[in-house]
Amino acid sequence: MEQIPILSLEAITKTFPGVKALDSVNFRLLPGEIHALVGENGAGKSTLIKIISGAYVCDRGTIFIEGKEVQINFPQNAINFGISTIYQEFTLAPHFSVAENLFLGKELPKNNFGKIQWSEVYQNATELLNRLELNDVDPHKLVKDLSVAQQRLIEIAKALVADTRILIMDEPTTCLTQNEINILFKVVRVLKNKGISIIYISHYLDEVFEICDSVTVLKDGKKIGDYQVKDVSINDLVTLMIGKDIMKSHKVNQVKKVGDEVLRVERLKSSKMKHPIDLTLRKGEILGIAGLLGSGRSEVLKAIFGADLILSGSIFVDGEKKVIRNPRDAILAGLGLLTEDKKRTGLALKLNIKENITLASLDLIGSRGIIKHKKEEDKVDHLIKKLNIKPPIPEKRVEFLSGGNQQKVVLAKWLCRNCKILLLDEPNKGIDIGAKQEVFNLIRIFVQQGGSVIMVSSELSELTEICNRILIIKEDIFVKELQDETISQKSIFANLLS
Amino acid sequence: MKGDIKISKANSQQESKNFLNPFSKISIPRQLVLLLILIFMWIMMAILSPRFLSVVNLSSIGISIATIAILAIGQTFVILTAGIDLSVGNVLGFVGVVTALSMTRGLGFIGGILAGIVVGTLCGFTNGILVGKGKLPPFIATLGMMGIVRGIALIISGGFPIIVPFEAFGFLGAGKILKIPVPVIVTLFLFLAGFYTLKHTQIGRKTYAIGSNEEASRLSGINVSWQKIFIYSLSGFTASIAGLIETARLFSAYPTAGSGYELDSIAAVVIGGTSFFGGEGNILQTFIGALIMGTLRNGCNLLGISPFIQQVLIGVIIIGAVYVDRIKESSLI
Repeated sequence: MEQIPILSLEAITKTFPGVKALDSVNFRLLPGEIHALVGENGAGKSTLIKIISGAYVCDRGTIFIEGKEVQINFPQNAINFGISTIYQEFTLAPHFSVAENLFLGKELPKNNFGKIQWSEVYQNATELLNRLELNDVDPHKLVKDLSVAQQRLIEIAKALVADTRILIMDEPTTCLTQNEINILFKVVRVLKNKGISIIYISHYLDEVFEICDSVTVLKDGKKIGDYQVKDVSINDLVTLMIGKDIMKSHKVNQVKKVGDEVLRVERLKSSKMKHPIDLTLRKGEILGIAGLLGSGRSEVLKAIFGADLILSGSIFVDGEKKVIRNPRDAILAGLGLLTEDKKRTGLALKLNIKENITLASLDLIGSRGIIKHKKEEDKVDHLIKKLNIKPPIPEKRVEFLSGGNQQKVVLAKWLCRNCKILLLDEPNKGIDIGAKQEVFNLIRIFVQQGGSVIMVSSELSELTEICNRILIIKEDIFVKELQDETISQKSIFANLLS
Repeated sequence: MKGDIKISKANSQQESKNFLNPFSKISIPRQLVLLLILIFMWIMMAILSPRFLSVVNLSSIGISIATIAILAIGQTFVILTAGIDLSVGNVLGFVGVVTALSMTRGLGFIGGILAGIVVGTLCGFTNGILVGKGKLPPFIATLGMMGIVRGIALIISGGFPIIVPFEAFGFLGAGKILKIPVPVIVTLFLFLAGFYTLKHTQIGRKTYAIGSNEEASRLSGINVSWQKIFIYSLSGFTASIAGLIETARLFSAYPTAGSGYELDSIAAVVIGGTSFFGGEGNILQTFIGALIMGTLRNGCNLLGISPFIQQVLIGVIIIGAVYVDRIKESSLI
């Protein structure tokens, strides 16, 4: 017996100047299913969900909800049909409490004089959170004081307050640790059991296999096919997505000739850390730092780079003591930091590729404060080629680049500076599989040429793939060190959770 | 442009042709539009009023916009960093008073001018310290400065205008070199200097970078605090020059001179299309913005249109200019 899809799209086409973002795409979402939408960056996933949620209007095609043809021209239309979207960017009001956020825009319980009955509001919020088994979230807390993971869960809870029938989740696990992802999945399953249909977008295919029932693959704006998750393998999906088999993990790091110590950090403590840390890094080494969100993994990098206020400790580069009070000192000592959130802290989005690449090297490309344009262009052209940045146009504004190319621009910024030690915070966040391999290859080339890297990642597979040595961090303390042979996802995982 | 955000590899090449614009920062279309508007205004005025294109009238437009245009140079730098400088108008008045007073109290001709420039630049420097080091919102810091300098100007002048004791000083306001009024020459020179600084120096590049993303700039090793201190000082400096010209034109320093000029200078920058959120825009646009405002005022005067209506017109133009940008931007998302 054929079920009537709760949502059905037929022959959806959307063209932007110069690009067909979606080409006659069909999509069916059944009641109570979790349906994954996968594809490389630029495949058309975002465009498709924006059409469903009313952010875009399609050029051609029809949308049916429970078999009835409907028009979705504005976000409000979609909301009225019970479609909620959780975007990658947060849409909560940070200075409001959890409960206020949950019921934002909803009728609140009032007494006869119109006074809001806050105790009731908070009680409702508590009940709602309990239903999602989020007992440890205090509804009185301000949203800005919650962890990233908790904020995302609150957004999901909010969708439950609105009478949502279709929930769209765009990369919901970005920045979450495995543990947090498990909680998120639990909540998602609760929603599914309540009969809510979910469209799930993710770069991480293992998540698709863990939580989804069916999957639709998009490529270059066209639908490749619909599959039941149980009928396909990860490898099948990857092949469908990119059209060639690149799944081979490039484990191993070549010959490891790890050289002399290039960086030694002693009793370093920043204002954001609870305990001082020590670590050493050798030439040609890729040192991984594994930890859960909030374990202090990013803070360690920021402290070394002088990005947070340094309270105590010393840093030696090539055996020489360096005073690092701010990022400028760190850069002069040969360090570079690639931050977790490239859009917020890595790139000047309104500036172009060229200006971003040379941002940290203005003193190198000029003399006495005057920029030497020829020299700048030569350097930039060289790096654009070397890193295969697309489009290869120095004057292109970086806000128009894909996530992968934006990340390459940030890397190019540090290569332009000729820095010797790269501090990478989640270098593969928000970029697709192809770009991820390119970034990894660049990191490998960097260390082969005598550079050294400290890398933080919440993806255990990434750490095991590329690192020579891994430090496990918990509550600002390095609790365990794993060397070559002992590195495996299992060993890291075991140490993280123990 | 719209498709650009979700640009895929397949079309990047094709897309790139549209972007083969070597002057990304200057964004030619915008300037062209502004220039066309200006030319259109001039043609209209030339038809409507035979006096418009006379040398006397053109000089008078030049002189009348000189002070605002000069203030707008510093203001452009400040707004490019996503800041704002509300104090420039009153600093202008303050500088006039300081200069005239110094001259009457025996600092001499050069001494008086230097005193004015130093004091005005120091006002900007203080703004810079408050914004750059003290992390005060620029609106608040410069609003405070605006009140302080006006108050001090009134106190030290006793509330009366001070007549400048050197006749030669008038040259700065009313003199001519090769038939071009001196204020116009000074204005053009400062615009060229500002243009060069923004386009070809590290300081210029850092100004844009800070406006586009302050934290990314800091993490790229830019000393954001000092950069801001420099930029607000620069704004204080241009306000000083404008103050000297204004004083020279009137041959006396009025402690209340420059009231409301800060808003006109902001208007010139905004009509020119420099983004209020920083990181976008340039000084040529500001120049054209100032010319459009000056032409409008002058035109209204020639045509006998009430100054009250002028204010309405300028208000409409400011809102219109920014609204057009808004639409352009939202069509990108």
